[in-house]
Amino acid sequence: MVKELYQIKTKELALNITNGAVDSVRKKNVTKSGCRVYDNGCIGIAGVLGEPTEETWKKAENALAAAVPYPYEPTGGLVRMRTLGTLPEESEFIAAIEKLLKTLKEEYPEFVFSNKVYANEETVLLKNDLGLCLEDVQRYVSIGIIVKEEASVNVFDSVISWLGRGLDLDAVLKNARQILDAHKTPAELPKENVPVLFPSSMVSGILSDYLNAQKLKKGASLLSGKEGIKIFADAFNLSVSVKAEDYVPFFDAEGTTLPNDSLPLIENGVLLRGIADKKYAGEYDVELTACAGAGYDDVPVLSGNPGKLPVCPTGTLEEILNGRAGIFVAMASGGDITPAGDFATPVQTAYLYKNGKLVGKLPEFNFRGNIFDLLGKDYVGCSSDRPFDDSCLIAVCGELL
Amino acid sequence: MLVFPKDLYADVRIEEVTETAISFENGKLRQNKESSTKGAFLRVYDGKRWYYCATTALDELQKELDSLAAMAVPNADIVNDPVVRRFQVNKDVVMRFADTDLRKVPNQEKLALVESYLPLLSEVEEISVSRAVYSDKYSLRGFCSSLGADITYDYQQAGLALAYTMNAGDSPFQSSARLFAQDFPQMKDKHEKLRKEIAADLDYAKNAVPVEPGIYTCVLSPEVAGVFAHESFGHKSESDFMLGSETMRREWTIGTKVGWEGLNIIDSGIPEGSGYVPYDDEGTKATKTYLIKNGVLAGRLHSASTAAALDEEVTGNARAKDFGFEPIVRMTATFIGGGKDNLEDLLKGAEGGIYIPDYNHGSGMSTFTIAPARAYRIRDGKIAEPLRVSVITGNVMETLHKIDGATVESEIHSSAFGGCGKMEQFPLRVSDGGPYIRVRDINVQ
Repeated sequence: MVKELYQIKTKELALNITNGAVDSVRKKNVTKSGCRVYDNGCIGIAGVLGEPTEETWKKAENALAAAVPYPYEPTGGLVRMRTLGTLPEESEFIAAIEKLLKTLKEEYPEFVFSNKVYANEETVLLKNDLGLCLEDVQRYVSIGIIVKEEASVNVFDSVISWLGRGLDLDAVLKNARQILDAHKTPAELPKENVPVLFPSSMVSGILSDYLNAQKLKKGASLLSGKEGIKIFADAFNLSVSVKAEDYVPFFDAEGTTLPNDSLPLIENGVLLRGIADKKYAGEYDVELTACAGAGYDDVPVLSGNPGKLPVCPTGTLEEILNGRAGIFVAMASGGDITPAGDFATPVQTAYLYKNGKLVGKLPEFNFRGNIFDLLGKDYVGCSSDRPFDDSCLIAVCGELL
Repeated sequence: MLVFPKDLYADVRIEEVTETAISFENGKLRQNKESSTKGAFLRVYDGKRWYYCATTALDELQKELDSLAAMAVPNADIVNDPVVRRFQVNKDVVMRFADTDLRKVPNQEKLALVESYLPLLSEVEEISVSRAVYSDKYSLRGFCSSLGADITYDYQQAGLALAYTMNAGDSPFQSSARLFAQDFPQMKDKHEKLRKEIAADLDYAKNAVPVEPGIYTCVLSPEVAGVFAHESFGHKSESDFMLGSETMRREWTIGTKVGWEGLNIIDSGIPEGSGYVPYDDEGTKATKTYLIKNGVLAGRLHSASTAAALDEEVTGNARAKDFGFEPIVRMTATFIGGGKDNLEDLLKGAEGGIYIPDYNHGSGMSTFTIAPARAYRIRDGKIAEPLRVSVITGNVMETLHKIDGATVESEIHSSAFGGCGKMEQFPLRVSDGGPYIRVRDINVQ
């Protein structure tokens, strides 16, 4: 019998902003513990909020009676800890955000600001009787300020977002000023076909389902039968990545790690491998890719977390556009993709990018394209920088309506 | 017994949740879990700022409350604060589910239920990958406040989802067939219903052709009409989106004509289902709020804070996802009221249009979107060939004027999976519904 603890600790300071002012301070300090017991090819799990007790471990053993199969070796013999980021003191954080809001209100009185900013510390721990001890501590500041034009009848008009390992007020203001200055200037949709810039996580989310190893092997994916085949542009690369810049733990819910914290899935447009947990790796004789996910008291299963599947950058935004104009999509909500890979989305807020900066706000439009074209002949690149918000951007040419 | 701080408003919400999750993948058991959690959310308000704490240390609530109070500035006149004046002081115990308590159903029975439905997946040879998930939840919420409110109520739901990928057409097709109930026996003997849904998906997977993008008249089923109401109008009725904007308040003046004269959109926590909220998370009793009445803007959804800001009254819509979050303005059960037509007439008046029986997801901002799960051409007054549609969209304010027909019966649809998302708080259980409706000039892609 092997005992294993999977624990998630969240310490959070969240400030809510209403009408440009901090109107609430929320603190959380929550520990969730999952006690796992492996025996005779089965797994028993019991969870508790807080630290586990003898009773929790007993419940986990009793849960073996449910005979949930898990005939995979628990990971063992690996010790690694990683801590990323430092956070400002609570009072310093509140004061900095109040200063940010004061500046925004003074410089942009025509906008209303709301929603939340966070200073978070998330710790994930996995340790067991087999000498496994993995701990990942992520500290970060996340800003997601909703922007509404006072004169607009929309629920909201734009967003200022930023993600970093501490608070860099100057960087946040730079993002904010770019967005808000452009928002005040109407622009027309370019007549020529220019690249459209989406958060690269949008593509990661679509591909994560297609790359499910079980679906690939069973013909249930649009990419089934295409391993080893060039399906996208030469410049398109996608990996599993758990590096510092990905803001995810370096190990998955089964304790699988990756050499150099990275593993390519699509390289130079060629499909190399799908994503697999221990179950799929065993069943389909494919590599483990550190993509198992689980709630604190769940059996680990394959999880296509887009945050772990970044599109590999091909240069800064300026480099990949190489003098061309572009359309930066700040808000595109409600789109979807058909089984044949035809993607369509309304774009509620977009800005024209020209000569290295955002120059104006574009009217709402609809975008569509087939995924094989968007990441194939119409693929321009993926930015290494996050020039306007918390996202790296992919540049694709599609149809604007 | 908690001692509330002097010269401040405070409330405490404690939530105890018991859940079961059973899942099978391709016919093999993957999880069978029963869990219980208990946590508390504390709020302190001094008239200028709120202070919150989410905790599982239930033996330290007094300490946490005192710690929040220490951050606030005492206000001797707090009871006259416009927000605090709006808090209801209710004392009530509403145990709606005492006789049908899901916690009393043995796990073996729940497991057997799921197993009884597995053949529906294995009997379809085109299904290459499948999951069967059973999920239930019993929740006990307690709320007390420094004003003397003391409420306890329960809620429960059970759901079954059969999710599958079909290799039937030229590309894999994913869909699911689902059940919702609030009483375990209602989950049984629904095999034929689900079998029909799976068959409809199979036919769709085999035969659907891409739609020609364009502007169409659409007939929406009650389920889709419900998500339309929720996304197109419901979110705009959440008053926190209106704060700080005189323009929004002018546009949304009560009494403004916003749609077709037969249009009524209602929100209420009273109906049974996944939108049942007898008391919201500020202790306000559920009521029925007309958002639109006979095509005219009639009301908004409020928490105490938004009601005070707009000088209106609370509506029972201050809700939190769970003990880890503060209540914000959310919908409950949001539905379009019935009209006078029948489905036959709606279809006859939509020649060449599109019928949408169900959906994958929706969103609502200035433009609403609905991603159909299936869609069909309307031809000669009948539902005809299946069509592949990525998304339908429309401008919210314009589209409400484009509804020109609704059937008599309004149905409310509930779900045990997914829910409404608003910023960080996803998912929140809600329900929505309506009659069949016909809507003109919808952008279909």
